Amino acid sequence: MTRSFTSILFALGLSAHAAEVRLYSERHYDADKKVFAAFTEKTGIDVKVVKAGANELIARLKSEVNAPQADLYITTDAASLTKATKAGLLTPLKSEIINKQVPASLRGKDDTWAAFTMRGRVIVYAKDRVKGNLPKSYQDLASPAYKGNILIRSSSNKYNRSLLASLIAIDGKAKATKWATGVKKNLARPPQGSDRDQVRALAKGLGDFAVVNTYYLGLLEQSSNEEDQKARAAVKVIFPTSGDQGTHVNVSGGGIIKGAANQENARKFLEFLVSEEVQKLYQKLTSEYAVVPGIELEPLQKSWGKISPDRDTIHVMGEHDQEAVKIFNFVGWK
Amino acid sequence: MAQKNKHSQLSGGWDLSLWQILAWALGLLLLSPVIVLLASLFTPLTPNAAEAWQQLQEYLLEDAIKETLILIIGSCSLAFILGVPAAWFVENFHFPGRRFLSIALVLPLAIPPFIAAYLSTEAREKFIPFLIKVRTEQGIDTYLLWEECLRYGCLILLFASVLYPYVFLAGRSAFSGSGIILGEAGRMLGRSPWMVFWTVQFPLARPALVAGLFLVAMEVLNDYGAVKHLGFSTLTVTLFGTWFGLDQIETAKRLAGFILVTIFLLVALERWHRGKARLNLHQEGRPITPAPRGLFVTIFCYLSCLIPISLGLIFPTYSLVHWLLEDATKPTAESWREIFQAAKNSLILGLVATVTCLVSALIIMGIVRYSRGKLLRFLSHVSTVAGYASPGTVIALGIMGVAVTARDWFPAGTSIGDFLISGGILWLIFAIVARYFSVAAQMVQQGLARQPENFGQASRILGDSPLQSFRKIALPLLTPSLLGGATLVFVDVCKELPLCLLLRPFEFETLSTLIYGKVDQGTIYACAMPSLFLILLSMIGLILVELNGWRKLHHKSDS
Repeated sequence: MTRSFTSILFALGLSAHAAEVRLYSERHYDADKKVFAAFTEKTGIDVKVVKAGANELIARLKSEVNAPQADLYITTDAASLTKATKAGLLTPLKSEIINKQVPASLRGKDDTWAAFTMRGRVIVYAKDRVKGNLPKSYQDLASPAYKGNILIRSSSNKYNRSLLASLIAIDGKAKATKWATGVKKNLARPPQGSDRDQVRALAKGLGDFAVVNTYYLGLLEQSSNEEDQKARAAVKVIFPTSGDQGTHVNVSGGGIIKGAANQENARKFLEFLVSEEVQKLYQKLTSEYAVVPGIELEPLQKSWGKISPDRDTIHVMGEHDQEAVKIFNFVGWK
Repeated sequence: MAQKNKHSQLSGGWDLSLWQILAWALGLLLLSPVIVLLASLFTPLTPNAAEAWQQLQEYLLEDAIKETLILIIGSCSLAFILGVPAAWFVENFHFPGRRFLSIALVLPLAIPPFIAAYLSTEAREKFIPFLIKVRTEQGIDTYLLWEECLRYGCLILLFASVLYPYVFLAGRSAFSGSGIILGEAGRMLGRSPWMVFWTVQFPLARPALVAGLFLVAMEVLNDYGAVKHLGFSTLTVTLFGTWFGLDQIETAKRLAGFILVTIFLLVALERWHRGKARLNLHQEGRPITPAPRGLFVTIFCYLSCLIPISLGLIFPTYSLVHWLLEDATKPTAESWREIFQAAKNSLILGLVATVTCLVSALIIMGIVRYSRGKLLRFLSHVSTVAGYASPGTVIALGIMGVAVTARDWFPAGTSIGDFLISGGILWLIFAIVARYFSVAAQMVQQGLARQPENFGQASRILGDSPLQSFRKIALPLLTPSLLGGATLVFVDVCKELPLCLLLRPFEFETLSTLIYGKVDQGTIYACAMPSLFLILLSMIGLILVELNGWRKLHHKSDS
C-alpha cells in the first residue's frame, strides 16, 4: 500500500528528494530563471518554484503548516516577510555569509529573512511640460498645487500599500490619512493599470506626475514597443524623500520555512542570491538595486540620479500594512 | 407535446440504494467547498473579522454591488444584442458562408476576458487626447464623468465581445429545435419572420437564452483580471481585497457565502418563474431554411454575424499578431520550451478535468433519472449551479478548508496523510472539477430531459437493467450534449486562472498562469505567444465539436 502511494507520488514528481530547493515565490522573472539555472549548475541542487501572490502563498503555507511543502518563501514586499514571521512560518537563517554580505538594515529583526534586491518608489514627471515646482517629497504630492495632475495605480497594489505604511510609520495615522485624502483629490484619473500604464498616460499628457517603481523604468528601457519608448523618453526621475527619511524602497527577500525538508539547500540558495556575481546580474537584468554594499550601479540606474534609500521603515511596514489598507478604504482610493 | 414524467414508472423493483449512495457521496464531495462556505455564514466572526466585515459594509460593499450590477447588466444586454440576432439569422436563413460564420461565431469563447483586457490597452489609450480635450474645455467633473463612462463602456464591450457565444449557443440550439417547427407553422399562418420571432420563437427560446445569459453573468462576476486592470472594484475584487488586503479570510468567506446565496435565490426565482412551461417537442427531420429575401435582409444577416466576429475574434487575434510581429522580443529556445510545456499541462489538465466532470455528471444525473429521491433531485439541481456560481478564488478557499480538514483526519506519516499533503495536482483537479462540474451537469441534465422516457421504458420492458438501458439508449442519445459539455468545460479549464495559481504544484505552469506571470512581471508583450497558443488550443476543441455538431444537425438540409 505504502509502496504504491510512494510510487504515485514519485510519478507526480512531488516527493522530496535530496538535491532540491522548493520555492514559494512571488518572483519568477526570466532573470530569476537564469539565476536559478546558474545555481543548479554550480551546486547540483534543483530549484523548483510555485509562483503566486505573496498573501496567497502565506495562505497556502498556513494550510500546510504541519507538513511544509516548500523550503523558501520569497516575496517582493518586506511587509509580507514580516507577516510570515509573525505567523510563525519562518525559521532563523543563521548564515554567516548572509550576515556578512547583507547590511543588518536589510535583514529581518529576528533573522528570519534577508533581502536580495531593492526597488525605489519614485516620482517621474513630464520633462517638456513641467518647469519648476517639482515635488520633493511624497508628502508634497498631497498639495493642492498638483490637483488633477497625478497618476498612480490602485491602492490594492502592494507598493502603494507599503508606501502608505511607511508614511504611517513616519508621520502617524492622522497625517497619513490626510495625505491619502490629498493625493486622491489630485489624481488625474481613477487608479487603473500597471506602473507602465501610468508612465504611458503621462507621456500622452493625462497628467504631469506619476508614482512608479524603478523596476518598471528598467522595463520601459528594455521594451521594443514604440509607445513604451516614447513614454521612457518623455520623463525624468525624482527620488522623493519622506521628511528626514530617504526614498521609500521595498525589497525582494526570502525566508526559510519552519520545518522545511531542505533547509540547508534553502540557506545555500539565499547565500547564492546575495553573492556579488548574482547581485551584479540582478542590477543588469532587472534594474533592481543590489543590497550588497559597494557594487557599482548600472549606467541606467546612474542616469536616474542618486538614491538614498529609507531602510528604517522597511521593518515597520508590516506593522502598519493593515492600517494602510483601512485608510485607503476610508478615503475611497480604489 | 409530451409532458415530462416526474418518475420513470419502471424504476421500482430495482435496488438503487447503492447507486444512490454513490450519487450522494459524489455530489456532496463536489459540493464540499460550497458547503464549507455556506457553513461560514453561521459561524460567529472573530473580533478582527467582525471589524473587517463592518468596514466592508461601511466603505466598500455599496460601490462593489453597484459596479458589479452595472457590469453584469451591461454585459448581458450587449451579449444579448450580439448573440441573439446572429443565432436567429444563422438558424432561420440559408445564406452563403452560413456554416463558416456559425462556427466562427463560437470561437471568441476561446479568448479569456483578462487577455482581451490587456489587448485593449492601445485602443483605450487612443481616448486619452479626447479626454484631455474634455478636461481643458469642460472642467474636471465632466472629464471624470466621461472617463468613467468610457471605462464602463470599454469593459462592457470587452466582456460582451468574448462572452456573447454563450448566448449565441443557447439561442442557436433553441431556434433550431422546436422553435423552427413552430416558426414554420407561424409563417404558414401568414406571420412575417419578425412577428414569428417575437411572438413564437423568442418566448420559446427564453429559458435557453436566460441560461446563456446566466453564464455570461457568472463569467463577469468571476472575472478578476480584466476588471482589476481597468480599475473597477467589483464583488470579486472586494473579495480578494478582504482576503489579501485586510487579511481576513473568515470575512472573505462570509462575503462569498452571501454572494452564493444571492445567486441561488436568483436561479430559484428564475426556475420558479419558468415553472412548468417546459416544452418537449420531438422534431422529425428538419424544415427547409429559406434563403434571405431582399437585399436588406441579406445585409442584416451578414452584419449580425460579422459584427460579433470582428469584435470577439478578429480584433483580439489581430492585436495579438501585431504584438508578436512588432513588440514581443523574439522567443528563445528556452521560451519555446516553456510555452510547449505549459500548453501540454493545459491540455492534460483540461482533458483530465473534462473527463472527470463528464463521468461525475453522468453518474449523478443518470442515477437521479432512475431514482425517486426528492432530496437527491434537489442535490442534483444545486450541483448544476453551485460550482459555476462561485468565484474561482472562493472555490480555492473552500478546497483549502477541505484539505485542512482532510489532513487533520489523516495526519502526516500515514500513507493517506502523506498522499493528501503532497497530492497538489489532485487538489487542483478536485477544485477544477468542483468548479466546472455544473457546466457538464447542466448539459447532461438538458440532454436527458430532451429524451423521451418511453425509449428507456421500452428497453426495460425488453429485459434490460437500468444500467444496460442507460448504456444502450440514453448514452448514445446523449452524445451531442456530452460533446457540447466537454468543449465548454475544456475551454473553461484552459482559461482558468485563480484556481491554478492558488493550488498548483511545483514547476507546474499552465498557459494561463504563464500569461499571468508575464503580465505580472511587467513584460506585457511577452504574453502574446502563450496567449496565441491558449486561444488556438481552445479553438481546436471548439472547432472539432462545432464541425461534428453541424454535420449531425444539418446534414439533411445542407446536402
